[in-house]
Parts: sequence; C-alpha cells; structure tokens
Amino acid sequence: MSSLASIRSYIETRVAAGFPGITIVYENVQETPPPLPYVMCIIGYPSTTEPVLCQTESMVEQLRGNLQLSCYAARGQGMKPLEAMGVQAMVLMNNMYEWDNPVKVRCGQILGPTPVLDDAAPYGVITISCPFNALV
Amino acid sequence: MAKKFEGAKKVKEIDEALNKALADFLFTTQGKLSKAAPVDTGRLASSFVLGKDLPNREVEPKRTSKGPVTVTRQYTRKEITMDSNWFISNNLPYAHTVAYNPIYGKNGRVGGAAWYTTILNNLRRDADRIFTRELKKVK
Repeated sequence: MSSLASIRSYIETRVAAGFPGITIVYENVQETPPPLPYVMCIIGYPSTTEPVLCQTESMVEQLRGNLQLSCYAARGQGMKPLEAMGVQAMVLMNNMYEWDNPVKVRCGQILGPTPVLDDAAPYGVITISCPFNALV
Repeated sequence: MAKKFEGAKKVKEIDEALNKALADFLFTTQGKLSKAAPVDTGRLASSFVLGKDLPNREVEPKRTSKGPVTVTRQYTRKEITMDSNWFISNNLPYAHTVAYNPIYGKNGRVGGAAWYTTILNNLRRDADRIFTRELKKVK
C-alpha cells in the first residue's frame, strides 16, 4: 500500500539520483533559491479519482499526477548546460517506472523542454513536464 | 422488423455532438487557465482568449491595482464548429515566463507553481472525457 508521501518520496529520490552534483529544490522546503545550477521539482495531483484499470490488483486506486522539472543555469553561457539538464530530465521520466516498486509511478507524454529566456533574470530556465500515474 | 438506418440524420447528430464537445472543451480549458493562473492585478488571468483560425491578439488593458478576473467568451457556443482551427492564447508579454518559470508562477491558484503544465498535461484526458460524453448521447 502506498501513500502520497511514498509517491513523492519515490519521485524525489529518483530525481535526486538523476541529477548528480546538482542541487534539487523541493516544494515547501526552502524559499531562497540555491546557487546555480539547480533543478526545481514540482509534483501535483490534478485528479485523484481515476477509475480502477486493473481489477486483479486488489481494487487499488490509480492516481494521476503532474511532474514538472525546471532546470536553472547561468544566463549568457549558451544552451548547453540547460539542454544537458533537459536531456537528463527526459531520461529520468522515461525510466521512472520500476515494475517491482509498489507505487508504480509511470510517466506519460513529455512536454518540453521549453526554454524561458525572455525576462531579465540572471539565469536561464528550461521546463520539462509530464503527467504520471501511480498506485495508491 | 429491422430499423431503418437514417444515415444523413445520424451524420448530422454526430456533427452536432462534435461541435458541442469542441465548444465545451474550449470553454473548459479557457476557464481552467483563468482559474489557475497566478493573480497580482488579475490581468494575466483575464487575458486567456479564444481565436478562430488565428490566435487572438487581444489583451486586457493595463491595471494599476487588483481587479476582477473575468473570462470573456469571444464566440458563442453555436459559433464554435469543427470546420475551423481554434486557439486559446494569452498575448501578454510575460505570459510565457509566468507559465514556465515556477519562480514567477509560484502563486498559481490551482496546481501551484506548475499551474500551466498541470493543465496542459491533462488536455488529452479532458478532450477524451468531453468528446466521449457528447458522442455517447448519439443513439
């Protein structure tokens, strides 16, 4: 049996492992951004009333969530650091599913990486996101 | 006795169901974006607009203080049909940044800092739900 905490724990652990040497900012942990580069990991649940798809799994409920990774790197140093983190994020989302893990987080179609460079901030951002399913 | 199949009538019913589903889908998405967007003055949340065949470039006038969040319907339900391309756009210069940079989007009212991608990543599911509901009404 899993819970929202175990789903979050699973995803955040995988994100931390997917970006070695890069600080990960989790929700409701710190308000001040760390030094660049860093990745912001945001998990949300737009729908918690998904139908049961697999009756053989003891009527477990499916949960639909949204995972967004926003990667920050210094401005004016080319797109390479941002795109490298974007690729790491994509690989991470593609490999999120582990068949023997009880939360069974499985990512869907990936949106992005979308660059955001049109403001005056001292950093560049790319955002990559995907919906995911998990078992509760 | 076999029931007579009225092809033309059935096609018309399917057309009407598709048009209604499209209108529902567009209004739902426009409303969701407006409801979820972060609010400072309310200008961004009020600037999600519908466009037919081209993105609509209208924006809310500049505001100096907080105002109401309004969702304007540029088209009536009957004007929305499947034979055109439809756009939901927000033409404020900072809309892209607030949508994709969680530092600016952190006050998103639904979905928090990921308010925009949460809606975008669920569009397919919303469309599936709405179109299925309307097409099921065709007997």
